[in-house]
This record gives sequence, structure tokens and C-alpha cells, in this order.
Amino acid sequence: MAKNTVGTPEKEVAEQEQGAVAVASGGAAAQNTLRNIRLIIGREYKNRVTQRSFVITSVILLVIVFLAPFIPTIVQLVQHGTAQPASQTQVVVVNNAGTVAGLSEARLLSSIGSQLNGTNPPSPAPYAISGQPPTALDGLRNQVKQGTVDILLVLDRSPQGNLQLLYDANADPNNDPNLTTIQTLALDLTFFDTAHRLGLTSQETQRLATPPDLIVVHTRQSQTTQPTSVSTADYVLATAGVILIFISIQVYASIVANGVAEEKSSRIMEILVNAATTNQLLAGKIVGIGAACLTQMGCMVAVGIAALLLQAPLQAALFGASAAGFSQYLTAGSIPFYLLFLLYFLLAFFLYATLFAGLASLVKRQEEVQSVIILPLLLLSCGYVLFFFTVATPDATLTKVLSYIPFWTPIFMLMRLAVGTVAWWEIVITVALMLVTILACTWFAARLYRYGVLMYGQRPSIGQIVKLARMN
Amino acid sequence: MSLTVEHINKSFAHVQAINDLSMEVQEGAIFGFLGANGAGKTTTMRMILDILRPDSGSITWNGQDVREVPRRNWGYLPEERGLYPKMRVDEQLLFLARLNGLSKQAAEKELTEWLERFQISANRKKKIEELSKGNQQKVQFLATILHDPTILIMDEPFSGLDPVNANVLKEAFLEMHRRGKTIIFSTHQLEQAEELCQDIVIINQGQSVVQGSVREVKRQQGRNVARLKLDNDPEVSWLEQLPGVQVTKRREDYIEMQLPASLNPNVIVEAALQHGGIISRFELTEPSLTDIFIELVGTSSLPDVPSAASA
Repeated sequence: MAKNTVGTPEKEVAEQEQGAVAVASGGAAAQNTLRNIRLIIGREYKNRVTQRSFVITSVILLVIVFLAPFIPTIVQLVQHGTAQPASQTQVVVVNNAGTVAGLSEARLLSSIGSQLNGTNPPSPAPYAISGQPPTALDGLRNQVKQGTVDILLVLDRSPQGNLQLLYDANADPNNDPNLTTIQTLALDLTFFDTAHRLGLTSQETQRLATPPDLIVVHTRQSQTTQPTSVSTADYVLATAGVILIFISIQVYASIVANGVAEEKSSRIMEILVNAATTNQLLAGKIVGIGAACLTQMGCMVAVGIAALLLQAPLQAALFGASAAGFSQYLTAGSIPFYLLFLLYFLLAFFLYATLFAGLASLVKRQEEVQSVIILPLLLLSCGYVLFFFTVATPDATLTKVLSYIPFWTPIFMLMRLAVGTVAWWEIVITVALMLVTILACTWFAARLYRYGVLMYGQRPSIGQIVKLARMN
Repeated sequence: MSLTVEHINKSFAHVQAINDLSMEVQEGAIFGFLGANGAGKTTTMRMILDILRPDSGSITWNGQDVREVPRRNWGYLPEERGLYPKMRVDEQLLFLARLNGLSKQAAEKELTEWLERFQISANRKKKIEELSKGNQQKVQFLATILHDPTILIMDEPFSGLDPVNANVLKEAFLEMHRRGKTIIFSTHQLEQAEELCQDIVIINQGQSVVQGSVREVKRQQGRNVARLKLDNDPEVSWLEQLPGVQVTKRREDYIEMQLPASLNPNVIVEAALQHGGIISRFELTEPSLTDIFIELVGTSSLPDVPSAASA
């Protein structure tokens, strides 16, 4: 079939006109087309959603999606139950300095406590402060080594009377979470102690302690477009969105490809092409299966959101009102993000599903489907892999360029929407580019499909595929 | 009122599948489309259905190009059976009937009626893959006719059926004929063609070899067939020495031979009496389609089922 097309351009035009006549014959042709496509969509949809394997996968996915949001809550619950005492840092203060900043021993300890824990500490406070007499010093040093005491703070005075602090901690020198806090504490203690020894009144001390009134104005715009803080929630959102798109496109487009191959290998195609045109069949198949897949995805998203929303009240009930809700990931993205996610998902589905369908029409048996759809599948996977290399630099030129390549647009635009910055016209352009590509792919796939579905000979080579697409 | 195929050609790659084929099928006729495997039957049927387009030539129904004949006028039963294996019988047939333009109510009415007629109402809710081959074939037949098409094109409708089911299908066939449908079907079982068809065409390597009414085709062969049995001489060794006589079959109950039209069959009787034979059987018949088929198409491309029609 492939090689008999030495048709001159005139002949091709003539055939196209005849095709047009065939479609146009009968006033109800357009109505018929819609009717046929609706019937095919109905069959595909019903056939898909009633298939046992589809139902079982859906149920399994729904259970996973429902349970996943509970994991952080459960983790928190476990920590809440067991790890509580260990989370308090034991601080022992040994005072050899006498009166510090004019404070008595007890007031000094409470002052240090409020410095470390803040003015309004949660219960229990992160630091537990206790005082010990100087005689206990050697024993305390051993306790620090053994880890029963986390921090030993020794206050002393130099011969000139200046305050000296010794900080003894059971911690890695390169990774001491308390060092900065203790440094600030030392600075403050020394400041107030010196002020007291200089004989300043408390008002004078307060004035000294007033922070400088410094106004900063930068006249040049920031050179790094990296937003100052990209929250973890945004990364989670981008990664989850991209993984969802990658997996669902791959799975759903493969279902379309298998459906095409099934119709061809069961030979029902020969009856179908007599009742409907190949374009109607292709459109009905893609939309029908797409609708079934969207149903599955919609259920998953709905159940997932419901489960996420359940976490806040659940955590509040378990840990009290102060617990941080995990559902922040849900609110981190605004509504437009979810709508755009849906838009890009649909576009990607149509793009890949048409390609998959066209290619799958070339194989004889369903088992061979995988070998022809590998090409578009690799294309999709490339984008997926590139995502992990570029997610740290969402506003780099490379990422922007990648987001304009229609086959990868959904992946990179979603990433940029979540963690980078996107102008509205970029969305318009990428969507337009995808629509154009979808039209081109539909044109290509419809031609492949038209010749492929009834061709039972050897699978054509890539050269023949191109030739097939060009003839009509 | 007829389906007219005029000088169509079709090539695949470098193989000329159909070569200047012309034929005419009268409206309301049962038309037998005979040929060996690979002769081009399926290709021609697909071209009539506008699934394939001929490289040149035209196919018209009542003067209208087949491309413009509304699709629901056609019913097609493909050679390789095609139904959704995992779909229920009723859902499947309703889908196809509606796709062919029937309303839902009309389709259900027709379906119930035909399932009853084919005695497969019990299988209505079963999946196709759960049915026996004969029942699958009945469903396939229903898929072809449920939308009440004008022209039925059936590729090997009788293959793979047991005699009982073949008979049920034959009845349905004749019912469609009584309703005035034009039926074109291909078959390897030539005695069936002989029984059912008004007109036939035999094609070989994409070319029409002979066509017309069954009687015409037989007459065109310009010969008679005689069967002879001599009680006292089963071999009849002298028979082949008679000029023009060609022995085609030697059976226990008779010897069959072909005679040129110019030869008076009485010559054989006279010769038998001269040789002192006791004639227990002598009859003149027309050649069967099988004989004609084998002679025209050649023994190199016998049909799948070397038919038991010689009896």
C-alpha cells in the first residue's frame, strides 16, 4: 500500500476533493459525525471504566492516595509519644563570677532561661536551665562527656573584672546547633554586665541597647532572580505535579495505544471503518479513554484533597491547636496553579495519546505495541529526567527554553509555576505552541491510522511511515 | 439497478492484486464471488466498500459512486471475524447498529427479534469470548445485518460452521434474499454457491476468469459430463481411446468423464454395447462448479476445502 503512491500533485488534490465530497454528502453529515463520535466515546468510556483491571487499579490507587497524607501525622504521633524527653536540652550554669549585671543567682538563671527559650516558650521549653555550685565542676565536665548534660556554661571573671564564659558542649564542632544561641547569650550577658559595672542606669542601658536606625535602599535590581525563599512546600508541589503528569500520561496514552491495537488485532476495525470514518474512530477513542482516565484522576485528586484536609483537624485533636498542619502543601499552590495543572495535563494527554494511537495502528498484535510507542515514550522520559537537573534553577535560561518545547512544556511549565516565576504571556505562548503541535500530531496520526488500521502486512519502516503520512 | 464494477485495478507494492476486473451484480441477487486464496476476493470486496480505493476504474451502485452511497446501506462480514472479545453480545450489537444509524429503540427491537431467530437469546448478556465459534459467527452475522443494509458483502460467511449452524445461517441468508437485499459473498464451498447463487464470478490472480448465471457459466464450458457404470467391466479400459472423451474421476459407483459439446453422448453407449458391457448406470449431467473451478483456476491453487461436492 505504501509504494503505489507515485501520485502526481494533481491526483492528490483530486482525491482530497473526492474525500471532501464523501464527507459532505448528505445534509446530516456533520450531525452524523457528532453522533458517531458520541457513540464511540460512550463505548470506549463504558468499556474502560467497567473493565476489571481498571477498577482494581483505581481502587488500589485511591487507597494509596487516601493513606499517604496520614503518614506525616502518624510520624508526628510516634515522635509525640516517645521522643519527648530527649528533645529538651539540659543546660547547667556554674557561676564563679558573683553578681552578673546586678542580678542575683536565681534571677540570673531565669534571665538566661528566657534568653534561650524566648519570651513565650512552648511547653516543655527547649532548654532546661539549672544552676550548680562551683565545686561540682569536675563532675559536671564528666557528665557532659557522657551526654547526661548537654551544655555546661561556666561564668568567670578575668583579673580586670571582665566577664568570661566557658561553653562546654557534647556536640560535633562542625555541627553544633546551640553555638549561635550561646554566642548571642554571651554577647548580651557581657553587654549588660559591663553597663552595670560602668554604673549606667537602666534607662541609659536601654538606650545603648537600642538597635541602629538604618534604612537600606538598593538602586540596582537584584541580579539573581532566584526568589529569596522557595519553600519546601513549593518543591513538593512541583515534584508531585511533574511525577503525576509523567506517570499518568505514560499510563493513559499507553491505554489508548493498546485500545487501537486491540481493535486492529481483533479485526473489528474492518466493520468499524464501514460504519464510521477513521477520523471519527480516532477522535472517539482518544476522547473516550481520556474521559475515563480523567475520571480516575479526578477521583484520586478529590480523595487526596479530602485526606489532606482531614489532617489539620486530626492533628489538632491529637496534638492540640499549636501543631503545624501538613495541609500547607495544599494551600501553598493557589487555585490557578491547579487549573493550569489540569490544562497542561489535558494538552499533554492529547499530544501523546494521538501520537501513540497513530503509531499503534501500525502493529499487527497487541504485544508489539510497546516497540512502536517507545519513541514518544523516550521523549517524555527525557523531559522527566531533565526536570530533576533543572528544578534547582527554575528561572535559568535553559529551563525557560525547555519549557517552550511542546513535548516537555507541561513538565517545565508546572515546575516554573510552582517554584519559579512565569509571565502570563509565557502561558499563552506555550499553550498555543502545544495546540499547534497537537494539530500537527493529529494530522500525522490520522493519516497513519487511516492506512495503518487495515494493514496487516509487515510493519513499515520509519521512511515508509513518513511516506504514509504524506500521501492522501 | 445494479452494482457495477468497471475495469478496476489495484496494486500493493509491486504486486498487481486486481487486474482490469469488471462485473455486474443485479439488485436483489445472490452473487457468488469465487476464487482461490489470494485471488483478490477480499481486496475487491474492500474496494466495493470503499475501505480501499482502486488505482483506476469505477465502482457504482445504481449509477452512484460507492463512495457517496450512505454507509448504512452496506453490511460487511469480514473474513477474519472481528468483534470486541470482552464486550457483551447485546452491547456490542447495539453499538454497531446505532453506529450504522439505527435509533436505540429500533436497534433493540431488531436485536431481540434476531437473537430469537438464531436461538441465541440465552447468550445475550455473555461476552463474545465466552461463546462457541458457531455462536460467535451468528453474532458476527447479526452485526452485519442488524442495521438493515441494502447490500450485504460477506467474506466466507460459512467457513468454520457445523452443518446445523450452516443451515441456520443459510436460512437467514435466504430470508435476507426474500427481503430484497443484494448479497455478494465469497466462499470456498462451491456446492453452496451452486445452491444459493443466481450469478457468479470466478476470479484468478486478480482477473475475472468466467462470470454470469450459474447455468451460463456451465454452458460456456462447452462440454457435458457423463457417468457410466458397467456391471461386468469396472475398469472400462477402452473408454479413454474414444476421441474427445476425458475421464475425470474413477469411483466405485461410476466413472465420470467429460465430453466435448460436439460429441454425441450416444457414442459412449454404442461403444459400451460393442464391448459387450452391461450398462447399470449411464447419465448425462452438467459439470459441477468444482470441476469448472479446478479446470479454470488450475490444480495449483485449489480452494481450502477440496469440496466433497463431486458426489
